[in-house]
Amino acid sequence: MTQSIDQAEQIARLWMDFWSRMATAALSAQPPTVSASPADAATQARDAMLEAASQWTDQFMRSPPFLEQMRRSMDATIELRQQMNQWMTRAHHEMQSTARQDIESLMSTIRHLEQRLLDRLEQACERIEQLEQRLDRPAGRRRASRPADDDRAPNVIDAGQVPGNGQTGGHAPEAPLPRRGTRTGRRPASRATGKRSGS
Amino acid sequence: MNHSQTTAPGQLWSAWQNSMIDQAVAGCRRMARLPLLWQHAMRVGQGATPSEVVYEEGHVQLLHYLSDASPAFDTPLVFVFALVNRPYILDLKEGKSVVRHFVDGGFDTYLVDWGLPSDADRHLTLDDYVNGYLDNIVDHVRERSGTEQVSILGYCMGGTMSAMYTALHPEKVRNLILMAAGIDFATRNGLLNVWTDPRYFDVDRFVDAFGNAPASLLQASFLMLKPVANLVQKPLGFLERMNDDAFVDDYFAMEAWLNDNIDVPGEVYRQFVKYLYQQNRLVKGQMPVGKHVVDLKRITCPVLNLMAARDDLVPAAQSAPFNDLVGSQDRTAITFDAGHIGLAVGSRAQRELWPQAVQWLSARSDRPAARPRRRRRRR
Repeated sequence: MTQSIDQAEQIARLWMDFWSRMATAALSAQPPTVSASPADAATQARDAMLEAASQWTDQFMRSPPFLEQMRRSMDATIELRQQMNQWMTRAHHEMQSTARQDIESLMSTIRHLEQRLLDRLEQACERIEQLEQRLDRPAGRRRASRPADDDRAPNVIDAGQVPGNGQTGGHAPEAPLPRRGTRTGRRPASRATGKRSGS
Repeated sequence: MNHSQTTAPGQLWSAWQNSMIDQAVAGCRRMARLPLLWQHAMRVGQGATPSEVVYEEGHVQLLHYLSDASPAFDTPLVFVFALVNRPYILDLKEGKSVVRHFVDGGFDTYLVDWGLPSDADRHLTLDDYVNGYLDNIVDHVRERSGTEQVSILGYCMGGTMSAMYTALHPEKVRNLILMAAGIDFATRNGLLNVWTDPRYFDVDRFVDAFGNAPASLLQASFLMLKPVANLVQKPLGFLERMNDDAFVDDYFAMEAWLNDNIDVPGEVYRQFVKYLYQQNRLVKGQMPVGKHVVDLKRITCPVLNLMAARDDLVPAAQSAPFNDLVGSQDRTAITFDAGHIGLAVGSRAQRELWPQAVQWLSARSDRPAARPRRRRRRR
């Protein structure tokens, strides 16, 4: 009961603050000129009130009570969505059909497969490049030209150097790999035939 | 209301009466135009400058803008927009097209259209967009133009991605222009920075539950940045200027785009909120994009940083530090008195800012090599 009264008092205080600011802004608004028409004066007052309302709203949306309420609202929405997802998944499985979660798991698996294949492709490409470089060098200098173990591309995440990112939830951490080239080996794009668009 | 001179009550009453009658007549005139508004709405299009699709990869397309004249510069220009809205804001309509400025300025101009992500795209990451799609597009443009480098203009989130791309592939970028691009997210000027605080927003739970960030949520959050302006002042302004045809055309074009939101792939949204808004890794040199870490010091090309002084979405304080973080010698920053969208389509920006930007880029772009002249024999 006390909590309800406190909340009602808080809301009342908010609205009092809001309306008092609007009234102050309206009363202190100056007409554009001395001989301005009443309509212009009313417009000036209206604009002043709306500006005051805008500033009040901005301050309110930064306040801890609003942020806390926003957090609760978002948590409730996420909770509802998760329950809906679980219910729908169960319903699909009971009917022996495919649920969205199954498709997403499949997509995730395919993606990991793709990533592993692309990484292997890049490693193979790099080895080929190194071999080509060795073949291009004069014979007498080949023995001295072995790449150093720590000769890596700049700014490459190495094992043990993954920046702490506080991962939570279902996000899978990106596994650090040794040096890779700039191309990620995406599939070649199809080239569309030109078509004019626009007016 | 204060009046600096006393008015007789009778005169005041008479003035009010006349004013009310005038307003009523004006109101009736405006209401009479209501049936005609539909015609204005039907005229709204997506893009004004003729273009063709020259590259496709999944749902991503690359538009090439057509011009009757040959390009005056060899270095092509690629526009990179954000993932949260459609890119035709950069070519909204005649007289409000950033693209047109550069096309008319003699640049071979391209625009990346990221397309409409589906639920299957929820696992796409920043690495896919920056080192995948964007890198492939840049390579295609280089091959098509016969040049080693391109110029990039990134707007908003597209600017952040363009900065990441340029830092990871500096050898491919000739010039970099950023428009209202978020770089340093430590500032609390913008409401989005406050709302995405990890104490109030668990982005992992959100993405795990929803997958892609829904367009409706993004639209609502943008609307709530300025609720009084968007929900009260804007409709009032429209009611008051309904009989201005040019205003109505601009209004409908703008509103059509503002409400044309698209979902953002879940993992991109997660990385953007967590690594940028919450952990501010880009300025610390800890921003991971795939297996690489973005180091803004590796950007050494000329940079032009355009910021909007009245930007509520990406405050100027979020963009300003960029010029101090790059390794470029040639750095220019312009803070223009406009909002986030006004920076692109505002009348003043179209008149004053974009000619300046075209001039800046012209001075730093290669012209086609002159053909050797044949010496004619005199007879």
